[in-house]
Amino acid sequence: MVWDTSSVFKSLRWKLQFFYSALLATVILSSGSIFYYQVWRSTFTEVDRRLETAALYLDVTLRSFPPPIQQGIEATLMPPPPLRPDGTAPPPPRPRRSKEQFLEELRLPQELNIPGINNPRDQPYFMVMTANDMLLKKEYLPQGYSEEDSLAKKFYPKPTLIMLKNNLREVRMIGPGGTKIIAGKSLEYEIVRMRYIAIQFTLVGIVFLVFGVGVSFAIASRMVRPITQMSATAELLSEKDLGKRLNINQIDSELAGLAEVLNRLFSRLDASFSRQRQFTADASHELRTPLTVIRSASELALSQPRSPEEYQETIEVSLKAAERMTNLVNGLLALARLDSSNADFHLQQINLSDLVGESVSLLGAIASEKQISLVSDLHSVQIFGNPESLSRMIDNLITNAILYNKPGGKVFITLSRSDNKAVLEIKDTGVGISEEHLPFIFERFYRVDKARSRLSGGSGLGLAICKGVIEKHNGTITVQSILGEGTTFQIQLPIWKDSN
Amino acid sequence: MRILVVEDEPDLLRTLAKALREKGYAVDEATDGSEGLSCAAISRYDAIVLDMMMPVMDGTQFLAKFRKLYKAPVLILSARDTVANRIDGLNLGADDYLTKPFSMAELFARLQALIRRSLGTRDNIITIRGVTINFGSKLVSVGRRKVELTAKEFSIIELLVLKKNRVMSRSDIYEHVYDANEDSMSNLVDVHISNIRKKLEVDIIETRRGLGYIISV
Repeated sequence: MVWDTSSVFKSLRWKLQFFYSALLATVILSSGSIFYYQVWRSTFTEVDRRLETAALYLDVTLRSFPPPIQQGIEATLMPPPPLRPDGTAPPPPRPRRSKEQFLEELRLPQELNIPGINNPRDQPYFMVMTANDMLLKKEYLPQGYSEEDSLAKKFYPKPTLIMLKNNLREVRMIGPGGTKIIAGKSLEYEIVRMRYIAIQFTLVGIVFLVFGVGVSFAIASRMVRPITQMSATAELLSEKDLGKRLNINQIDSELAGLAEVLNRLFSRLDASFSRQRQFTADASHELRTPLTVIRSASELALSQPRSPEEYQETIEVSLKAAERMTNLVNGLLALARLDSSNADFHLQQINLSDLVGESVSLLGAIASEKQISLVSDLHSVQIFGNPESLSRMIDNLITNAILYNKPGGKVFITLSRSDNKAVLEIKDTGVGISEEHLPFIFERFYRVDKARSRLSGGSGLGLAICKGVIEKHNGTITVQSILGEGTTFQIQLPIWKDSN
Repeated sequence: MRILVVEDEPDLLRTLAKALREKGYAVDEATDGSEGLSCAAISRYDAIVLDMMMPVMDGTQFLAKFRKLYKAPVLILSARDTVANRIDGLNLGADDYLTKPFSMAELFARLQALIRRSLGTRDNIITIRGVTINFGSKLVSVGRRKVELTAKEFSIIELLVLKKNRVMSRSDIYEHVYDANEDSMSNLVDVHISNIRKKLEVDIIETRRGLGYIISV
């Protein structure tokens, strides 16, 4: 596998994972260190405290030694006992222990032993010497303890902690009569124990870290999963299958918003693609039908010798089909132009009433042929628009009003100005459009009466083109119709302002 | 053979009907599905040529209703040319699918094949007692001699051969060979039969007195 480092650094999941792991490691390391330090400190403080106590104990004990013996140690240490008021000597002191007996019995009390240590070598030792370095008593001195090295170091009146080589901790002080008191302890046991605790801490820390990394991996995966799912779903979507949607219920709330946005996008795409597919299918059908007529009629005509009349009929049929195809292709081109950019859609200031007036006079002949009268009431309104496409749109609507009218019917064409809008109304007294068709009449290839509009050579695109033209001018077109009474189209276009 | 053409485009309907008549079929015309169903209720058809996109009742609705009542093979003519459209059409109970625009020759060949299959004959050429009938080229020969038959005469012998061993009454023959467009008398059938017998010089058509005609094998 090729390990692409850049993708790892860009991966949200790995970033999350790294962040979690680093955070966890820091927490474990710092808390472990603090805890270890506390244990370490309490251990050695305890040792120091006991050693100090031991030194003071030895000091106090040596002080309690009676003067004769003290004198044996240091003659001038204690003054002679004062005489009684009656001049008699004080009663003789209690029978005393000998110096040897005292030293024999001199030892550290059990209480000063560190609990939990069985080996006496690891318990405190002590050494007591006279001021002139004569050994009085030593006990439990560790192996290889060099008395010379120890005596070479200074003694202080107060208990003083020092560290000797071989991990020896000692409290040294000057006791009564200049005696030198040493209470010490080998720290080997504590050091080994701390090392053991450190290993335990490390192992526990590693276990926690591994567990934590595992958990963070799971969490990171869980957080990244909806994103992965979304991209997988989006991946599955194609032009042919836009039906899939993201399941919002399974996604965390922050991402659910994104999922909803994506779902809406998918829906819009789906609708757009299916409109496109429908349009393509319809356009193909509309183009194939006249083509089929031409081909079939021609094949039939050529299959055997025919009379001139038959040939003429074939040519007429073919011509009609060709005209239909021409209309359709023109319509498709007009739509394509409306769909494309504004580059070839030149706008200029025009008087809409001129355009409508031209259309009315142009279509007057067709109207009177069908015994339909055009009634127009036009007020001058300046707009900013493309005259060719607007003329075609007006022609189309008036032609529809004439074609779908009743004999003797009327078409009312009014143009007025209301607020900032030019309002063009084309009202006929024709057959009307039933309510079920009304919402769809502006759709491409939608036909209210399929048979009839095909006979009249309609492409099914006229109203779609009209709507496209009006929307290109930022206008609106609405329709109202009552079956059997007539239809009214109302167009609103923004008027021309000099400030523009 | 009697064929119903259901097609909303009037020029195409007229052209198809004329072409099929010239090939010797009796053709009835319908401009939408409901008209087609009315025709099917009156006459028995050997095949239906059906457009899919029509006003009032489209091909899909027509097929759904037609298939419940009749067995005649249906050939769909449609401008929809995707594989899914073809599959949909065939699933609805159509027997064949032809995309517009089509070649007339292909339409004839497919129709012929549909009719033969629906009558249980697979071969395009059948020989009965020395008389060879080629349904594809619409030619009849006795031995090596070509026999010139008119379209009507051919369609009569075609009917009798395809429905061999079955007695066809004059009205059966009339119904299969003449459409509503022609004004004809049933005794014309007898005239055609006698012309066929003369041209073939081999009498493979037997007369069952009072019943009709039969080609038995």
